[in-house]
Amino acid sequence: MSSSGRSIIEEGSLATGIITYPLLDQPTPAFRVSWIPWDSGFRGSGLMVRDEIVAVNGVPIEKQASASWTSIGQYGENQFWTKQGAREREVVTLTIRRKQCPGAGWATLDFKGELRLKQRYLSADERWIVCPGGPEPNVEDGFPGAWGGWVEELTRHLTNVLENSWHPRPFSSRFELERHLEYEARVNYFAEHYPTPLSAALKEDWLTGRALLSGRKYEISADDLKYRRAEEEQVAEVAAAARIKWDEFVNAKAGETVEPFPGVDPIRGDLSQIVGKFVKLPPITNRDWISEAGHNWFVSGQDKTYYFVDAEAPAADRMLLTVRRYKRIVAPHVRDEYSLVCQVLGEPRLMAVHGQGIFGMQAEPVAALVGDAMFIDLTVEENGVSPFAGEAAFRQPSAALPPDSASPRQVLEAFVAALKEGDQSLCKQLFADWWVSELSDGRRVLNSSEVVLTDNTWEDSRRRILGEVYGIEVVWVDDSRVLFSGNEFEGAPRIEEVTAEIDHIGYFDGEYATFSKPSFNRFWTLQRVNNGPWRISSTQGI
Amino acid sequence: MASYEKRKKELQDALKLLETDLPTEDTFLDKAIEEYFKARDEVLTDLLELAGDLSDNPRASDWANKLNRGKEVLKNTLETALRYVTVPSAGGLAFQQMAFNYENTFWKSLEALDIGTRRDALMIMRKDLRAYHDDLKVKWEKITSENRPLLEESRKAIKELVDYVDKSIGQTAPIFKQLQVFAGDFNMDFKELLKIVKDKARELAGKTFGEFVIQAMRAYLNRQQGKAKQAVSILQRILDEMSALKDEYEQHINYYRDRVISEVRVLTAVPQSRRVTDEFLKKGGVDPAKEKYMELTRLVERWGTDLPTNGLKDDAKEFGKAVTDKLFGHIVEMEKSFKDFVDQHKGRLFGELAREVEVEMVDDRYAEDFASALAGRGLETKLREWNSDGRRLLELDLEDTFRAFEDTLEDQPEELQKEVRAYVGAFKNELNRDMEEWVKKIQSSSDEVLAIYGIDKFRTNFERRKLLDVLRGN
Repeated sequence: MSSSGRSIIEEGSLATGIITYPLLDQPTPAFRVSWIPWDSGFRGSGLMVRDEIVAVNGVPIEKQASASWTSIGQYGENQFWTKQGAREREVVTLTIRRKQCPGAGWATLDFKGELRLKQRYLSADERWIVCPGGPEPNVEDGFPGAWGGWVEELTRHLTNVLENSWHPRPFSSRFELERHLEYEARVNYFAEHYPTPLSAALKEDWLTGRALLSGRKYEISADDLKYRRAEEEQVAEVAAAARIKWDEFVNAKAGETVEPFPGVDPIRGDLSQIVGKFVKLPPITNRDWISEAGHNWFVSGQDKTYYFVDAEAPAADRMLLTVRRYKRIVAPHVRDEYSLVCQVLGEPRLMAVHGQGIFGMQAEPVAALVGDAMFIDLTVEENGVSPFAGEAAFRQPSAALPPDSASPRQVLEAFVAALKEGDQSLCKQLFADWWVSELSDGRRVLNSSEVVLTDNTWEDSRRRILGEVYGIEVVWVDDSRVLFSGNEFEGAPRIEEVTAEIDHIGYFDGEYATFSKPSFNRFWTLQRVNNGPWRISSTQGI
Repeated sequence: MASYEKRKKELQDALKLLETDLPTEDTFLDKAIEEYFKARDEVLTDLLELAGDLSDNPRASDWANKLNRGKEVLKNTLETALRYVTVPSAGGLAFQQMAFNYENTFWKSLEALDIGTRRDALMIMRKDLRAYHDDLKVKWEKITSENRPLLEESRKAIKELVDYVDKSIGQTAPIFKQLQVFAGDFNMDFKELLKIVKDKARELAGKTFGEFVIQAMRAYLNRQQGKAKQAVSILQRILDEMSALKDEYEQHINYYRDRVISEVRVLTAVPQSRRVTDEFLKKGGVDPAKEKYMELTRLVERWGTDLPTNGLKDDAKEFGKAVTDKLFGHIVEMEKSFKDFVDQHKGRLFGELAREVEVEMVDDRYAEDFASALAGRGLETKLREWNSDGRRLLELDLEDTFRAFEDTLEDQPEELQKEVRAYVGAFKNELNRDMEEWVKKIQSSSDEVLAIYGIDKFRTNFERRKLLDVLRGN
């Protein structure tokens, strides 16, 4: 004790000084650290708020500890140590498990700290003070409210921020941050004017709280955000590029292009006039497709002249794949109307067209204007892909049903990718078609009901991912736990479950950072049956 | 309505053995079993009808809806059998969960068989086969209707050409006759000369006879040389005449060639369509349909054995047999459609190409028959004779003449014979030089005419076997 005052020791108050919250119903019974006071023997030991104490001096926490108010961090802890015959400054080892976030699972760590007796402090003039060198509890220093009340209020606030932020409860990170910042001026004043272990500890905790509420920082590139562009804007952009490129292509081929109609008789005509030349065919619609023996062809005919374009040949196949890609990454609808520039092939072909045998020329597409909305130069090919004009500006589709061996993290990532791409069907497939409920006595019951991603939930999620949420990252996946071991009843399946945590990323003051709102779903559960694929079992959107 | 009661009985028997502290649980479970299996029977019976529906309507979504109905029934009965029991007994809950879970497995595994989609696949195969059957009919009609006039035009072109050759031969006939007359004259003149010389040999002797012989020979040979020149020029005229008709002849050939190009384009459609047919039947014929059916049969059988209880297995086997029997109806229909297909298209656009189809489409013997007829006209033989035997025709005849003439001198004095032979030898050399030139010219002309009118050339130009290759897709 400093010479400027003295302390009064509360006899029989020997304890770690920490405050905990019991988690005794979970598979690993524990006491979660809620607060580490400035004068606790564990302050500075490495122990953190939210660590889960699973053993004290090597003795595991047990489920029946729920009845014990003398457990670690509980209000009667001192009685436990007294009973143990412990002495002041005796070193205690706490074994804790700490969430490895970002990451997966838990780390188990040991921390050592002293048992201490609780003390109260008097100034040199024998007046109560909040800590050695600190102010008297009833002094205000121009702030609304005295220091004693303020320290208690700040402690409650910091306990709440450090223990409960981001965890399953309605939580608005930005609202909480605003509230948190309201303490900043007095925290700084306190530290500057009363430089004591208490003010230093409170400032340290306040800064930790600010960092926590401000959220994890992320780097998000323009490429990551390509999915967010408005559909109308994307459609207009691609259509404008399409028209320009189509005209350019048609003009470039003009010298080698012949009028398609009326054409040369494919049997008696002089085919050398058209073979190898290009023809610009008028738009071909769905009605102009024919199927011969299950093989599809585009047919363009006028004035007894016919052109047959093999819809399953490589170039046409690439064209149709590109149309599908457009529907996924630009807009879900494009008019099925194909204007084609084709090269006329050497061999005529006989086709049955609407019940009539027709001889026509075979033609291979080299360029297509689809629905007046997209242009594809089919002479350009890379790895079996012919991109549409302007495609480079779009994010390539990445969503796909992951393999059955995919981890829970990969399944959630596939869900996020599909959500960004607007692939509702794929998202639905990632949800479980079973459901495990619990009876009031904790017994689990298997149900067939499907976990449904409703249209409303889907639309809300889409609105978010296209609005205030700029990205989603899976930041943590718990260890799996067994819901059904397979022995519960004859024929019972083995069902495992994991919890996963995602970061919703927002944009604040020029930075991308995690944030949360009461309506957000940060925690997800995934299950699998008999080692099958992991599927989302939370009935929720983002 | 079919009845699948084995699993029901199994559950009812098990329920009887269940000892619970809550009698109401038994009642709830028993009621749920009754309701569920009644509804399950109805659903399975409806599914059979869907499987056996031979119409062209797709039934996969009906099948899925009906399966969902089965799952819904399960949810409303066995799954929620104990919903009114606040705290079910351990035995009761385990029974309910087991019953529900196994039935859930039954529906899910039945759903995984995807029988509705497989039924639609068989239906689509049959429908596609009928559609393709119709497509091939119109294609064949188109091929034959396009081919017939072209074939006629080609036949006409061949016939016209042969007629033309006849005409050419006709035009040169008088000249031939002249040539034949000339050959007769030649021999006749020589016989007269021999007679005179023999007569004179009896009147004259020695030098006088020798002079006579030489003079007679000179006169005779001069005249023969003139005649030979004339014969050569006649022959040359024939050849020149035929050569002059070459352009007209070529026009006929070009016309025919154009017809053949068109014929090729039409005939190409035959192997093209046959390839499509082969590909189609590989994927869409009876055999692939049977393979699909057999695959499903195996899956259904495995389904019946993979289910967890004997009751479920028996129900599944019974339903599986019924459903595969129903689906076999599609195979029977498919076989009928395929028989129609084969009857209609065999030998044409399916199976081995029939010889009568080849004849009908190509008539490959036609040109050959005309080639033979052309050969019968003897033009080529004559041209070849003139060509290869020209020298013999003129030269050997003269040799014989000279020999016969020398024979008349055998009783004359040695010196006379020598003198006459020296003269004849000198004349012969002179004549041979001329002959050499004429023969070369005739040979060249006849080669040229042969190149135009020869049978080989005809066969090359009018070969129809290549059309046969096109038709066969070789």
